[in-house]
Amino acid sequence: MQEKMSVISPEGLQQGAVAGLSRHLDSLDGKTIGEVYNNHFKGELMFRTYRRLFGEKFKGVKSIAYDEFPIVYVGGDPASQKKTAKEVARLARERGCDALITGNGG
Amino acid sequence: MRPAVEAEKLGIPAVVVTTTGFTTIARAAAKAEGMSALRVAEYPGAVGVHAEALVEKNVEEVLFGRIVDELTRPVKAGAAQAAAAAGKPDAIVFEGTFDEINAYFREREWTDNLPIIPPTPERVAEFLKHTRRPPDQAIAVLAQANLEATPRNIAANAVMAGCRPETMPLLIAAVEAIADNNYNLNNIGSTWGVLPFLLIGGPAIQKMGIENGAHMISRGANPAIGRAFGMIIRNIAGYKLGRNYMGTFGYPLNFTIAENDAECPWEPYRVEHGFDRNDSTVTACGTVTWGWPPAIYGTPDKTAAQTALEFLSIEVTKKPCLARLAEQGAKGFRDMITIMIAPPVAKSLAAAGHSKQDIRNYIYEHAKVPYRELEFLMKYGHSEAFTIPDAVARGIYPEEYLKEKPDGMVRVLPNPDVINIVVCGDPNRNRVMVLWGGYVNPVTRKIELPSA
Repeated sequence: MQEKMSVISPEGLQQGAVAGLSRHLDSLDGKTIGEVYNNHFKGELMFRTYRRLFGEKFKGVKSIAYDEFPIVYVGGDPASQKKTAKEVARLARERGCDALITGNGG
Repeated sequence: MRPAVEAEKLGIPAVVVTTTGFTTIARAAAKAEGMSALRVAEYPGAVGVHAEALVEKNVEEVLFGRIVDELTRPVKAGAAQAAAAAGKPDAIVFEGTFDEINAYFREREWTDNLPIIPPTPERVAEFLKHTRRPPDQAIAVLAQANLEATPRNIAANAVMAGCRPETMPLLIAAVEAIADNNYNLNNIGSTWGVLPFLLIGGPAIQKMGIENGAHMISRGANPAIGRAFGMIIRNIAGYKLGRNYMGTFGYPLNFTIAENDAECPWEPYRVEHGFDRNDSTVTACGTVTWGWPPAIYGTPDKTAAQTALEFLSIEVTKKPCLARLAEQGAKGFRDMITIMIAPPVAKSLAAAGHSKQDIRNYIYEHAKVPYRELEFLMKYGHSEAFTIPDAVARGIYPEEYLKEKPDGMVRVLPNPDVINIVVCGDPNRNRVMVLWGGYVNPVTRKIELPSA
């Protein structure tokens, strides 16, 4: 018969303040959608398809294409990734975006 | 993902488009950036190997609706990460036998799927004697799970891995290293299979029983230190297989290397990086293991299947001992090439009409390098210092090689049958991996399972 033992957890305690999401939109009609791209996984085709579908399914949706924002490369050092992300968000606000679609892949 | 986080912080709803299997890692990365949740719309399948028409269909019929839903409906906050179960860092979380504890830890994904030594308070206390830091002092908060590393939980992982107690200061320093933003811990979940490892330098090598000579990663304190580092990545940084640790074919065990100052004709690594020769240092490093080479994509000018064939042919020519790889016949080197193909790539190849033998034949015919390159590798990387004509004369290279010089292209495989093709790995990733093996031939035997 094996001896019984008591053990502690190898995990850490949860830390870090967390921010909540912004409020969702009630409708996409008449909204401005910004596109943010990382040059991955056929995004050119996918963003083009989103634009077509927004035009077919909603009224007055304006898309700001991904080439009007900085490309968000997957590589690079963490500081420059963060800087680019903040720049994208700042531009989105400046350009009057009501929402963003970012991709592709993760 | 990061732009979405920053946009959300400015009050702009942002949806991240992921592919199948990558939603969890996106949410985890957002959490590490301080967000409780993330709007995610998942594309069904591996977009990289989908033809354009299928991509459009999937966007139209599945993905677009998900994008609209995420932007126009309330999103629930993510569930809290399971932290130390009882909320107290020294709390007993389980009592049981060795086997029961191992089962309990395995169920919670606290192990590397090998047996662990139970982290009893007594064993952990032995490790804590080797640091002046209080047991529950915060050493760092590690991405992606945002869990706090303390001497106590670092020690628990070290016990589990079978470390020696005196390695405790090394592991604390290793945690501090991976917590440095410059290490980029928040980005190691890639399907490339990023494997963190440690480089040790200085007097700690001798004091802690670390090996820096022959067979070093397999000797002394090295394997357990590497294993503990891997446990910390899983249990404190929160990288869990298949959720946010996405290596297509998985990961070998984390390992430890150590610099050999006595045999080094230059300044040691740590001195190069601003430390004193008498300092002991640990450097957190990483290697990309099983998951590279990169994804096999379909593009407007090539199908995913054709890209896979060409990519595999090139990859075969990148093996380290190419001159030996090309040898054939009874006197030639023994070779085996194992190609691991993730299911989406295998399916795209099969859909294009390629059998396994077709793939072997294609790679055999197309894996080529210039004659002069092969001869360089043979002459300067080969213990016998042959030339290609020598090798032909000895019967280990075919005579056809003599027709191609010096810039003509020659095959690097002796025949198609040295290639072994295995479909395995993440069913949602379009990756391949080519393993070169020498000295052995593959031998297969039937496993006699006991009858029910």
